[in-house]
Amino acid sequence: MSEPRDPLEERLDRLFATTRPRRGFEDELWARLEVRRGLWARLTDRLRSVQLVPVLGGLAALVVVVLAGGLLLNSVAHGSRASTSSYSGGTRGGAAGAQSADSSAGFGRVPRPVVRLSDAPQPAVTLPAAPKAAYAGSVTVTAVTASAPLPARLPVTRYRELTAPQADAFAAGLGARPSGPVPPGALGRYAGANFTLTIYPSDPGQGIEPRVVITPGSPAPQAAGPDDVKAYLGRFAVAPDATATAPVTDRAGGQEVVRWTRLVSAGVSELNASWEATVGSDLSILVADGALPLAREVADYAVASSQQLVALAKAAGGGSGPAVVLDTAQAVYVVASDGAYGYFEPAVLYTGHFTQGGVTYEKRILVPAVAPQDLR
Amino acid sequence: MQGAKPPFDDVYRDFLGRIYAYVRAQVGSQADAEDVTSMVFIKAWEAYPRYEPQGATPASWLFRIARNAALDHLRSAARKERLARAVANEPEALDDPAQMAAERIQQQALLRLVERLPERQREAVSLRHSGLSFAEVGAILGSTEDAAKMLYHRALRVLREAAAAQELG
Repeated sequence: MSEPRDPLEERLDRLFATTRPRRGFEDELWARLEVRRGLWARLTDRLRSVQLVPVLGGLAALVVVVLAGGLLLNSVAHGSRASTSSYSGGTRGGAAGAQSADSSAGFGRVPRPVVRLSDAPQPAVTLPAAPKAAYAGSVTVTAVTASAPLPARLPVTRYRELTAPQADAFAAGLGARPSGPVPPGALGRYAGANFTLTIYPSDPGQGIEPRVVITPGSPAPQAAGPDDVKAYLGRFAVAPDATATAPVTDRAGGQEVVRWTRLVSAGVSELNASWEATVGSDLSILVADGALPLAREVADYAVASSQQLVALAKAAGGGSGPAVVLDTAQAVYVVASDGAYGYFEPAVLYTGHFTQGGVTYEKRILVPAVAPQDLR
Repeated sequence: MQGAKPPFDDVYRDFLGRIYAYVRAQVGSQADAEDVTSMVFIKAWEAYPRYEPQGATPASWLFRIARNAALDHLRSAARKERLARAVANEPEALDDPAQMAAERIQQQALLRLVERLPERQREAVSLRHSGLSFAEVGAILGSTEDAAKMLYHRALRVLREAAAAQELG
């Protein structure tokens, strides 16, 4: 603005410089973008380098299966130390139908969850009402006064990590073809009739399982409620399955976000939503994503003792910084991955609060609930 | 700023507020502005791998997406109806009008005047005061730099008269 200014222009400058979205909008929108963008970059090379394993029936059969709306990937039996059970999403419901292996470590040592709560989307699990200022820094955990009721053993679920050829086959089954550059961290990006798909592998950093992000074209599909969203996701073979809990709808600005969370074991849900759609105020679906219906195996694992969990929580605080009492605890499932396999592993989400400079902060700490001897 | 392609994170942080302000001046409400702004950045993210900084600055690239999104939004009959109601001086929901400072009230009044400008004048004023050069404004509006200047100054004249009529100026 180098030209001579008059008072009106100065006021216009101020108007456009001070008109800003409400507090929180920036982070909310960013969180939505993060679901489909690239904190996965560092994983891509590793995942692509994983040796492709034979998939029963081959990719042609896979496409047929996908078209039929059934199992996406046939699982391969693994784990010589114990028997495990296999099932596909939608064929059994959470803990009620669980068939667990009787070994204490059916898959051997499982990878330690590395979810970064500061990067992860807002947890889908119900958290106690709390101030919104999340604190990502180190804290001194002075006490842990809450505990999550955990049984002595809990199931761990695993699935074969998705490969790029499998993602291609899945998209082909939906009539979509590779299109444009692949976003960072994605396995592939595809265009079909009035939609684009981006398929992502597991993201352990955010605790997200492999998923398809669907961006509708124009005219955008309409959704008057969760049933319509579910039907839309179903067109892409990623509708909430039998493990999904009841849908939850959050309103943010002029948009509604509908999400379903996976119930992995009795009363214990996944930390992040597995199926989600953002619906605009005109009821058009802006973006939707759903977990890929991968075949999963289940094995029971011993759970860490309460003393071990408390010690882990105190250590995870960092040992310096504001003093915090962790006064709530909730059992959740989080996604971990070793590149070849992804896992749903039990964990405990602790929260505590402290006030600094007149602002009350919430500190969240996530610790693995699998017994330490069974973690890598 | 042409040249190196900045990370999308930087573009998002740098431009979210400006894009929102621009969109807010085009649509009739905060809720609609959030809708459209969300759509802008979703589209921007989808298109970012194809964005070539040699062809346009991040500002003009993003504001072009924003303009198209705002126009799409306004073309909807329902939106037009809502805008018409908003422009017809329907009171806007404010957090706490009693606590609004005089400056803020005047800013809101000025925003409403901008909203009432003819479409292209409104776009010219909004883009210009979002920090774009006249050349960039002209490129986005599909006109020359000189035509953008003329459009802008015509809009200023309309605004000045309207503000005077409302004893704002």
